[in-house]
Amino acid sequence: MDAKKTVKLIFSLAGMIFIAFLLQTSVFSHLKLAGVSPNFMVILTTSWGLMRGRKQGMAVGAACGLILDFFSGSYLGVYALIFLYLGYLSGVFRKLFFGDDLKLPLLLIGVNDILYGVVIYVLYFLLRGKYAFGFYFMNVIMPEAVYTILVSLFAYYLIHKVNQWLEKDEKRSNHSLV
Amino acid sequence: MKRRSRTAFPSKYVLAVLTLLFVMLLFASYATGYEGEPLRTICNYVFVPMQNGLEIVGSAISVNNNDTKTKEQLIAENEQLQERVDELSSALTKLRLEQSELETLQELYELDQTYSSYKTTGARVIARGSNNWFQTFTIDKGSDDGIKINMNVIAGSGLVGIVTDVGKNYAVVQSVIDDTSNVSAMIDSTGDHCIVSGDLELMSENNMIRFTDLEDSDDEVEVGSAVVTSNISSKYVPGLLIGYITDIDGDTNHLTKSGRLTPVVDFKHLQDVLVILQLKESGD
Repeated sequence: MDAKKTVKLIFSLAGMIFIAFLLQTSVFSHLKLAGVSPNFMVILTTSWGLMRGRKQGMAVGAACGLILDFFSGSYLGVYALIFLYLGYLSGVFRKLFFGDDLKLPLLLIGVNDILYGVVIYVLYFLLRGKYAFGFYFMNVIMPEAVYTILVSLFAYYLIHKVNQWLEKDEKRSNHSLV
Repeated sequence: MKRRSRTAFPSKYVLAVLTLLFVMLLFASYATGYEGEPLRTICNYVFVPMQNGLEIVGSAISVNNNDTKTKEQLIAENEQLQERVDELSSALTKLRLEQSELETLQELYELDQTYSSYKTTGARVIARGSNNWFQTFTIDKGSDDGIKINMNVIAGSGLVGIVTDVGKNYAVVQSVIDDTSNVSAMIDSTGDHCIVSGDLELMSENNMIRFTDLEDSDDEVEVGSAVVTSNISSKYVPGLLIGYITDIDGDTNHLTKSGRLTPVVDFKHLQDVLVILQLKESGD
């Protein structure tokens, strides 16, 4: 029983990560606004961490990060680490989470996306002596966060549906055990 | 729904263990060039075929946007013919897509003739970089097609970038406008060497990239001079056009000059590229 649930969970997560990655790299690269595309990996990691807590947030984050690492052409582990912590951070806020309230998820997705942007800036730009943080903030980090929040209005709803579907199932099987 | 295993593993420990694991992975890939082959294989078979398909859909969407405008005008002109128009314009969309592809390929073919001394293979861009900081993209050919790391990539009329990562059926290309990219270049007319580096700030403001360390004691280099890859570069084959100089400043040391140049390749609308199947023999 338990194994079946776990398998279902893993497959749903893998599916969502897969779709998020494809949306980010192949579809929304054609739908850029102000030169940026939204960050679906941040949306997924944040939403899932918020709905399911720290452990699953970390799992999703680590998986998203590793895939990004493979396709970044750079050293492995950088994105995995960043998304691991984003997932953990979102999981911390699970206590405040109520399913149909949109404010907290959107706020947290925005904050996480900005955090992600700042970390990338520090690691790849500041350390190479590019000090114009104001420019990067206004031209990359902020537009990306705004676009990501905009897109997450829809994406979050879908992720929430998947979560409800899984939870309904888990509840049902819990009942049958009792 | 209560948390299932509250007592089993506190998530703090999981975080610590995973952090340690990824830091180790980071050092391993830095020190030994380990690329995580087993996991990468999954990427080969799962992501790349889908990206391939989606990219075609994606470019179809952008063409469709232009088409709806024409349709609207036609509605205004003649409502009665709407159905006929729909029918015809859908046929037209398909034809237009095919024609634009034909044009791109023809351009590439011509380019192929100019750079005929290098053996090349055409490839399609199937995905852009996964974030907004780096100008990288993925192409649909990999080690199976003979692509290797450090092969040069060209398109349209000049240098696009260099292959930084190769999978079985895909390769990641870092373009010359990427902020971390440095290309050893020279001025075509005088042979003076310089370094061309991508710059996110300059690129998003003025569509330009930076060149530095230009030794031009005779003041021969001027605005409009062509910049090509240099013969002393360790990774780039010589003579590929990068762009044209837009402005030049003298450096404070009065020995070298720096400035900006406009790349010749339209990086925003890259669809097909050519990979030069010849590695620079740098002797090291």
